[in-house]
Amino acid sequence: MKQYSDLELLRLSRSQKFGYKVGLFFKRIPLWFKNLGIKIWGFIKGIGLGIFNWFKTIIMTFIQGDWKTKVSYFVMGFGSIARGQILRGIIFALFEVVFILYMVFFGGHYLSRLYILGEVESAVDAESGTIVYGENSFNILLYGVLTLFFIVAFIYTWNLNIKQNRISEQIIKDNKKLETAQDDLRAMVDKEFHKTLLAIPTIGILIFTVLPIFFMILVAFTNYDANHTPPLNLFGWVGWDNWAQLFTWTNSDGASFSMTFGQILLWTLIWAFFATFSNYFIGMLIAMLINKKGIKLKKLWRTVLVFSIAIPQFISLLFVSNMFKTDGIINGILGTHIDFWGNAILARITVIVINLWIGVPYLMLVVTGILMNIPADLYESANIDGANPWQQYSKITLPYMLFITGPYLLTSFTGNMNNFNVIYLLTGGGPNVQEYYGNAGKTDLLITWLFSLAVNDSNYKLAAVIGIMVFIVVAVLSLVVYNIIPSTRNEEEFQ
Amino acid sequence: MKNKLKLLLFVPAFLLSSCNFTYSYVVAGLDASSGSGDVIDDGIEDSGTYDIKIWVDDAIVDLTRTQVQQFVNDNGTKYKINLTIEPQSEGNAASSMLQDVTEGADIFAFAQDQLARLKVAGAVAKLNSTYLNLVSERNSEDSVKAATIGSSVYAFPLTNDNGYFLYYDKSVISDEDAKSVTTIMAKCKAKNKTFNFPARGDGFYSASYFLGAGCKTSWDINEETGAFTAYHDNFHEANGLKAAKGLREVADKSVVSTDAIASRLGERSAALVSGIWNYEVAKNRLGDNLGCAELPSYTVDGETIHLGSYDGFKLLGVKPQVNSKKASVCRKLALYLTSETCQTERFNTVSWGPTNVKSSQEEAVVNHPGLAALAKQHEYATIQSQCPGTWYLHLATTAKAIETSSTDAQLQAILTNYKNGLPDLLSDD
Repeated sequence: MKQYSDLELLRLSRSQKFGYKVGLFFKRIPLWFKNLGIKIWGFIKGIGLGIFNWFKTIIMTFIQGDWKTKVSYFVMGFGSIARGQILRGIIFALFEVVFILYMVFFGGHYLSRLYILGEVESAVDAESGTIVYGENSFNILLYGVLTLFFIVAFIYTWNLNIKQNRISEQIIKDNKKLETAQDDLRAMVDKEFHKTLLAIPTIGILIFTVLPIFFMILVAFTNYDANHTPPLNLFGWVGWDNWAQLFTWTNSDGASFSMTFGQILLWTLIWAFFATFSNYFIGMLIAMLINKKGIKLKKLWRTVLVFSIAIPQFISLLFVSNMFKTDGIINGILGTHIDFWGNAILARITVIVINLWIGVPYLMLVVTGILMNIPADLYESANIDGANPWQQYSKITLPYMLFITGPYLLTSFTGNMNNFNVIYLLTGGGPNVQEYYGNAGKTDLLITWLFSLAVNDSNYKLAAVIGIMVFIVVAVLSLVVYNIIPSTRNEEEFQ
Repeated sequence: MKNKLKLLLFVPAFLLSSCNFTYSYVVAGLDASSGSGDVIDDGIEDSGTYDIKIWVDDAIVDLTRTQVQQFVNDNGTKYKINLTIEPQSEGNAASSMLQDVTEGADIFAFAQDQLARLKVAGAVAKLNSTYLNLVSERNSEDSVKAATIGSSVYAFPLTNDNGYFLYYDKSVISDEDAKSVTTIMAKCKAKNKTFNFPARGDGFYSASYFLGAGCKTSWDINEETGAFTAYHDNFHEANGLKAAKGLREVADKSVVSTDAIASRLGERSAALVSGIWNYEVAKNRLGDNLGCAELPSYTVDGETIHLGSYDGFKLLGVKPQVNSKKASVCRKLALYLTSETCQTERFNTVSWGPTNVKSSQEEAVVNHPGLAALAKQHEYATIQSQCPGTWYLHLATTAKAIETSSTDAQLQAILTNYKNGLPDLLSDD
């Protein structure tokens, strides 16, 4: 295919240009895959090289190091103590002792059972009404993963211990002074202060966020459900079985999990889109109205709107849910019997509208501040140039707003995808329909469906699959959008 | 730790619903009073101090505390019980137990349809022959059947009133009107009131149309694992179509509300299908105007069909214990709490219908309007058997779908969908 220069391209007719671009697109596909392949290969090679280099360093340090270093390979901290760095040495040694004790008395057992998640079943003796608990798959999985974490931490520390020896040897060789315990302690509040500060949050995140995420990912590969509930019953590994359900498009005559997932994902995205942008534009409109010169009692209007924030959603949403029932207040006032929650389309519209009432005040508060920051001279010069209010809005206010609130829009979009409160408290996910699997309803978001699968059906395995899918969808969306929005670029570029 | 992680993993919002109030109370046996004859001796020496946790409905927390005290007294202060009573609705007992059986109550009340789930989770154990004999001897046959899976009994019958009947406002609906769904709806409409009947929103009530028309559903359980292995269900056949046509009548939202709320009686609502648990509220609302009757009939193609219902029971479960002495005490206590004395006391306090044969023959029980209505409905009722909990949701979804269809072909298609969805409800392995 001929490559056109820019000038040649301009001379082409519209259809020719289109054809050229389509051709170019297809021509570039193999190249794209080739580049992707090269990148992946580079990544794998990088990892391979990294591991190779690490092993090389470890082995070379052992060969070239003195006897103190050699002993440190087995007794952590020995080299440090022998060279007078008592505090470091003791910490290393202590860590090794704790690790060995942990593995012998606790972690080792769970780790050794992790491959099968337990075999010994509980035994109930009906005669005496007693039970002898067998192995607990839940604990094995949980503590097994914890032990894996601990092993990684141990390898890291062990490596650190080797590195210390290497550095110390070098320092002694160079006839310099080694750091004393006092130096170390001082460094903790001075040069290394960031590490001191971050130690506790990091450990907290590892235990309370990363560990459960790992656990949840692993649950998606087990048969943990109502019939495999610890402590009485065991659950075990089933490989990709649960995932196969997600990608199987036919499931006899009944409703299929995959189809339901697709439909609910679609509605989740639609909901997130409308919930985010309806709030955004209406909130902005209200803020602009209240900000207008000549509007009286500005503070009163703002306060009235903020009231809906002051009442806990748990209370207000349940109340509103009742208001919209067939025999609720709304129907009473209208003199009708509209089934707001029973009709799928109506229910979807109603939740979006009610969400406005909850979300708009926040937007109004956020936008009010930003509006006041837009330089007034922009509007003045626009006025002189004869721009009408719509032009002023679309050329000045909106671009400015989008630039400032881009990240906010993104987080509120992902937040709405997981907006459990509004949906669960208003509709409970209903109305339920026959076409959906697992008693899902037409207003169910992935997160509320996950909740009812886990809590009502104890179907943890499929809940875990959905959880991972939610993560993937949110992560991909966030990354792509974050890279597109202008806010992440230099402010100077904003015109 | 384990529970916390579970919450972090799956159910962040569960925090909202888990705000239980805990009552802790120590019952120390001080003085021995006269025995009531409900104490049994199974030959196990088990005197000592025990920490026992009990879950019962909010309404009987105080009563149960007194009854446990009575149990201690009757046994001549042999036991010291550190008692914890937590209010827990019988409908949620299984879900709460399944969160973590080891942390769950030792003795807990639950609605019978949860028995299979509880058994699978190991939250109940078979009764041995000593208890089986006593339980069978003292309680009605149906109530024991409700606690049975396969050939074994797993719990102590507590009440026989977990079914439903018709409450109505006599100033709007006459006793004669209350015999037909059509007239009830017409009378309500004339007075601009609602007929509260959850037939479209709750499978437990939707079933009344199908059971009345002669449909049947039953589920086979693997006694070993508690898993549901097969079903026998004809809701999609000709009788089911009749029921579906009948259900379409109560889809009229201008009259029928799916909320089973008794506090609206006399005000916005003139009739309610619900159970005995709403009796006190209904009585307070309507006073002498309160009517209680068996369920009405519905008419399809000229045929009059009496609404069926489920005869449901509430049961008291005892969790298998690690300590055999505590297991023995828990069973004795559960037996006592379901004894004639305690059931009669419960009837007197909160009007719960007794399963105990002697207790249920007492004059006050027989003459109780609510229980009498339930007894009349008994003729048309089916004993609620074990089925997957999701079956009720499945049926409710079916009933919901019926409201938007008009032709027989559409109704049949919905019933076929219902049938096609049943295999998904069976246990996986």
